[in-house]
Amino acid sequence: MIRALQAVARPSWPLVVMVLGLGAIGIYNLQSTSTAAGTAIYLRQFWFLLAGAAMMGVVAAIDYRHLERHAPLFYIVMVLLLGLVLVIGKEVNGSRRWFDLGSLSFQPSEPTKLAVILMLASMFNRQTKPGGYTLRDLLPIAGLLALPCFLILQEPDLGHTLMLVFIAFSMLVFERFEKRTLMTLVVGALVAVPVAWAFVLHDYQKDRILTLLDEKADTLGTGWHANQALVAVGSGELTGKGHGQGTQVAGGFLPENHTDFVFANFAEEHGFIGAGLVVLLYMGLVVGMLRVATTARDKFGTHVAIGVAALVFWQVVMNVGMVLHLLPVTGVTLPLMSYGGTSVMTVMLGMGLVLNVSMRRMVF
Amino acid sequence: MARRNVFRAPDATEVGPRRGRVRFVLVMIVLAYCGVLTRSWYLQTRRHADFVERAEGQHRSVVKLRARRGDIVDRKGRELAISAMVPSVSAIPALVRDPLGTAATLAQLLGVDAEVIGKRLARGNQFAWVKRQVTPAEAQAVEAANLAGIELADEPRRFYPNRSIAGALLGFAGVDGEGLEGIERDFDHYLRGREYVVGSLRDARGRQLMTGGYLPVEHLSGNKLELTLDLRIQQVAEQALAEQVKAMDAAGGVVIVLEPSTGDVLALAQTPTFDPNLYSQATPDAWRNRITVDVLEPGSTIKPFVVAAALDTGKVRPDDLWDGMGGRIRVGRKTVSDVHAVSVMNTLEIIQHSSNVGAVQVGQRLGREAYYGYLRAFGFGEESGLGLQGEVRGTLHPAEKWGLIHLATISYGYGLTVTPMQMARGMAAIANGGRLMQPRLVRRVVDAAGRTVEEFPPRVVRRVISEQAARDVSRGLELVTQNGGTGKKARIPGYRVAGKTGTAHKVGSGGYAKDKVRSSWVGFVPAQDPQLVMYVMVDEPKKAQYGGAVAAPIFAAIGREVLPYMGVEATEPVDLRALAAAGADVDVDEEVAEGIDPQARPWWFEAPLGNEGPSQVVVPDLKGKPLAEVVAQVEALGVELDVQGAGLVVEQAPKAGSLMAPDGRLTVALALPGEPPSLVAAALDLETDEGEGTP
Repeated sequence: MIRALQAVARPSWPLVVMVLGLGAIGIYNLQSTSTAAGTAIYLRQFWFLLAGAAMMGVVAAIDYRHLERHAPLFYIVMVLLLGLVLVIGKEVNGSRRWFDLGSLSFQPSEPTKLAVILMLASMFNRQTKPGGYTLRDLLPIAGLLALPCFLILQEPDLGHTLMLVFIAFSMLVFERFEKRTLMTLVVGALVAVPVAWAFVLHDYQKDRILTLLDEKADTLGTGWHANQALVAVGSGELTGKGHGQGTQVAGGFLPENHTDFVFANFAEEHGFIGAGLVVLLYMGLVVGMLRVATTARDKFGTHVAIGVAALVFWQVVMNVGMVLHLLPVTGVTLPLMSYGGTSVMTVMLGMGLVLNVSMRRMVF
Repeated sequence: MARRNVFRAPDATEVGPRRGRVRFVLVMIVLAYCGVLTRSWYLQTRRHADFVERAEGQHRSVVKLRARRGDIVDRKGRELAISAMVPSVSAIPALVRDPLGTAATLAQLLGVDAEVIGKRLARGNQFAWVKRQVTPAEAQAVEAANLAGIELADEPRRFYPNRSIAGALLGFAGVDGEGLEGIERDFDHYLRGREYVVGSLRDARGRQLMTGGYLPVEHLSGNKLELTLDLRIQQVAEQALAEQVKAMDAAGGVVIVLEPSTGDVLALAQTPTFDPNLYSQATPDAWRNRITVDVLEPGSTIKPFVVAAALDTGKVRPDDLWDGMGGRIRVGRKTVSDVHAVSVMNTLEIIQHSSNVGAVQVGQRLGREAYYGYLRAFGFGEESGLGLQGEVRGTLHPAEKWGLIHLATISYGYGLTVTPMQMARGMAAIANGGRLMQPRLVRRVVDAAGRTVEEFPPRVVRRVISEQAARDVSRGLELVTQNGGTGKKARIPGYRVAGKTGTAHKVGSGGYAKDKVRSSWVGFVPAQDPQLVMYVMVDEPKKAQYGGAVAAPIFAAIGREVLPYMGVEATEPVDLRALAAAGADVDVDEEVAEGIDPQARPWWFEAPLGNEGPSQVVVPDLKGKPLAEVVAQVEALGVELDVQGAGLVVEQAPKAGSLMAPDGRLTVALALPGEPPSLVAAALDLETDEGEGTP
């Protein structure tokens, strides 16, 4: 195994380099849109990234086996915060997702992803069924997942709900199931889709999905973001328009250009070459984290690494897929590149967990 | 150990997840990212042309427009500059079915080159101007042609209903509603409507913005400027000035009318001027505001100031006697002489006779430091604070640079330069009991909703001389219009007039030019309770030269019209024969025949008591006026009124200036400002109904 090649217990430096590199590219990209956004948000992003790096170091230093014990506490705190944000959260565009802390704001659904990862990892660690999971075994897991999902849907925030589901799903992929259970799950999923369509999804969410199916459906209404993002990316061509030369942002056509649609701005200014490089970096990051999972000392570590890898993987796929008009608009941020303190720090904390696991693979 | 049980699958001997699963997941990850990469590749290198065009197209379609510009009105709310909505022709090229044919049709209808229109239509973007601010006839033709993708929308256009009246002062604004000259430029920050972007609004809101005109952008409109100017006084001043400039075959001239107690600018006239509606046809030389930008040597008009200064110090008393020195005084190696030698005169008579010899002696007794200090205090050598750009300070060298000869020449108005506004303002300080006011041109700024944005109250800059000194100088200034004075032609029957004449030689090549002068008059009326301060200057008059002959009559002409209009009561008996005997240039027979009554109401209220008797009234000039004003005026006449249309008066019957029976019927046709009617001739057509005229 690869483990044999890595005899020394130290952090996986390639991971660190890729994380910081993506963060730096993110700041560089935000700098080009800053004139449009009015304030120098790239400077704020720099401080967020710096704080995130410090947290990453601290989390990496504490043995993750201690974290396992505190996973339930973390989970309960996050669920309480999710409940609280529905009551006292700041309403933006009809959603209550943020706590207003003066000049800063805090989005509890972001760190909730980490809490769910730790909680699930700790549960999987305790499961010891040789024949694989039965449906009854899955019930507590489903319940654990359902609570925060339900709260986040109330905000409403479909993107983060989906993220939680996808992360949990990804972690389960590495588990064994009873054959019957597997069949039931597949059938259940097939039934769930129309049910969700009819009862769970809001109209605007359905519109976003319909927009995806028909590119020309409504270029001025619902499809506006998606369409303008597409124009931005496409007009970037192979080499891009150059740093700060994007007309889509400058002309005010590309909304949310520093949060959800940063990738469109980057692709417009740096073309396929720049966009491709960023996608490859993200792929390297995910693959690297997966390798940490395979070399972890115990099952808890493995699952934590898988969970964080899943977090980054799905968020990148959903965000870039949305910008490239492959997936519906869900408002999921691009890890490390989208502006936002909570988002950046959550990813950095997750990276700290993975580095933690990678550092302690040989400690016995 | 128990926790490892789950990995005890047949093929799993390790701690980590099973290799098969990992491999499967790795493949899925790589596939997902490759899918993303492929999509990106496809969009950016295969379908890019389409997106590049769309990005450029919508980028170009961003049209910056300006909300309605604020009006400029005079002190009584009469409109000086307004923004009227006029049609503009625009296109949505994407909707134009037959670009070539459309371009050809439009070219014919609008008189624009077909190729130019064709190019605009061919760009394939979402918005293009075809021709802005077209005439109603052109708009109608375009409307009738009913071309696909071609739209008519109203946008604001600047319009000056009084045409050339106050033209040089108002300046003008460009096609996009930006102030380019005069008040329009200098107070642009108040007047200018805020800019807004049509392209992004159109796209973001998803609706066609230009169809059916502007979005409601009232809140972005510019503010209304309320000037201190009085359109009537301005009109009278311009008329009187223009007539005299023409009669004297002069190069030009200026008139400033101030209200001394407030510093309010009631009129700022200049010749030549221009019609800001047609500003592009005038030369930039005509755009120049001569009142604040041109400098001149004041000549004798400075004498009241040196006397005022000397009286204020107490070094000189009004009844001090001065030796006329046979009309010549030596200063160093130079000799200063008087036009008419005076044997002996008191201090005030120096002003009356405009004696250089006397003024030089007063200046010498005052001393250069004190004199310089007073000149500065009167506002010479500093900007007047009118708020107009490019105002110059004139040249007033500091006292320590004055030689003996400078002290002498500056005492009679040479060796320093001043602006007309400085002269008027200084004289207003004397008229105002010694308090120097900041001249006020803008009274109030009001926003589109009628709320006051900013108010400019009258402001006392400083006290220059004591009230007693001001009164004494006023007495001297009043002597000027009495027998033996140089300004008898400034007399206004029924009122006491104070002032000073000035005749300054212009500097030509190699010294002062003998034949080129600036003739001026600066004074106020009524002398005992000043309501009007006027500065009049005629540049290079050829028929006569002395300020008393050239400039003073303009003052008198304006005062005769304006004083009754302002409701200033005449206090003096009018003894026309005495006037005539004193040598005033008044044709007594004519005056008597016309039967002028100093108490008479101004010409625009009723007819002069002419041959026709009171059974006839003179038809006022109503052109360019809003209906409310028309009704008020016609009611005062007592005749009946017929109104056709809406907007401003464009035609009237009978014509202005003609006589009609008081029980007659006056018909006016009104129209919205679209095609400017020929107002200029009509609005300035004072001769016909003025009767007695200006001298």
